[in-house]
Amino acid sequence: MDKGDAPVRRWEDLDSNILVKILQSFDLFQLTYAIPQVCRAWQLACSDPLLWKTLDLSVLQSNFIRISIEPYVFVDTPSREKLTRLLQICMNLSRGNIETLIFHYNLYVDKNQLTYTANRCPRLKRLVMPAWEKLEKPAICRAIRKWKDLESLTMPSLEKPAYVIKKIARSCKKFSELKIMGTCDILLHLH
Amino acid sequence: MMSLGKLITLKTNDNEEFKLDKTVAVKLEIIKNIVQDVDCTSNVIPLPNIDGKTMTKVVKYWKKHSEEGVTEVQLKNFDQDFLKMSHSELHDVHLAAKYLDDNQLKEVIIQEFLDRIKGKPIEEIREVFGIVNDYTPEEEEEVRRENAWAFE
Repeated sequence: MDKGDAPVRRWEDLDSNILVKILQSFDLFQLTYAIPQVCRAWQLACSDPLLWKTLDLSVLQSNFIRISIEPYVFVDTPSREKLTRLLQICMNLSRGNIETLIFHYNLYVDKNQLTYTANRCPRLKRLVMPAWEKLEKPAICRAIRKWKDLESLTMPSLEKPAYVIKKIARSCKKFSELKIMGTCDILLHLH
Repeated sequence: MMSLGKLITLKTNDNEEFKLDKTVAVKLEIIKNIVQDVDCTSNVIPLPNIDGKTMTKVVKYWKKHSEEGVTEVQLKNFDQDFLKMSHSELHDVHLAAKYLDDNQLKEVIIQEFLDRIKGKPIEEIREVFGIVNDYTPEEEEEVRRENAWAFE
């Protein structure tokens, strides 16, 4: 290959649409970690709204054990910190442009992480968050209040889900789809 | 307008000439537009942004892809072989495809770039795209630190 005296092609010769297209093919780890290190232009391109419409964190699971007493699920500190760190990086890069957010069913988001995320995803339309064991009512209500554009929610089967539904009815005027993982016969007792 | 069946001559910036069947050439937006404007008698289309070496490759690609009765498998093998070029040659062909507004060729080249950098370390990504690292060592370290999450 002629690396010799061929003039170095500047990446800027290509248009930024193509750069974004190339970046779209990278996975989350590359996009958040490797690509910003390439050069300033690529770091900048990593914040392109097109790359952040969907944040799929289903690659990430918590390290946890189930216990029979409260808090029922024990999540180890490194995996909690890793999620906090990743959320920070993604929220910084996405600049409020996330519309779809997907969590793994074994990823336990805690209340600080949820509040942080809710504040930084004001345009959220679809949320898939099947594990709520580390969350309590106030944090969930606070988050739902932030998501005025929310259209779709995937949530776990709760013992008393009525408050969630009421909160959504009050805050999310565009809401149209609720998915519950597990049984949902409880919903029949709403009224 | 030129009459059908004629040859069109493309002339590169280093004065190399490529004679193309018009049916091949008018498939491309830019050629089509120039053909409509150009003087019927000359039939020579200048390509001021493309050199002969690059145009040879592009024409080779066009000819193969407009061949009658060519099979998918043959095209796949051809593409594979066609793409065996240096990073900077690949850039030249990409720029030419961009100038000629040939979307199919552009896509093929971008996919090749992607394959070349998939899973590669940062150094190699820079090399493939001819990117100069414009961070100071301190800045680079900072970016690395800021974005670290997967390592303990």
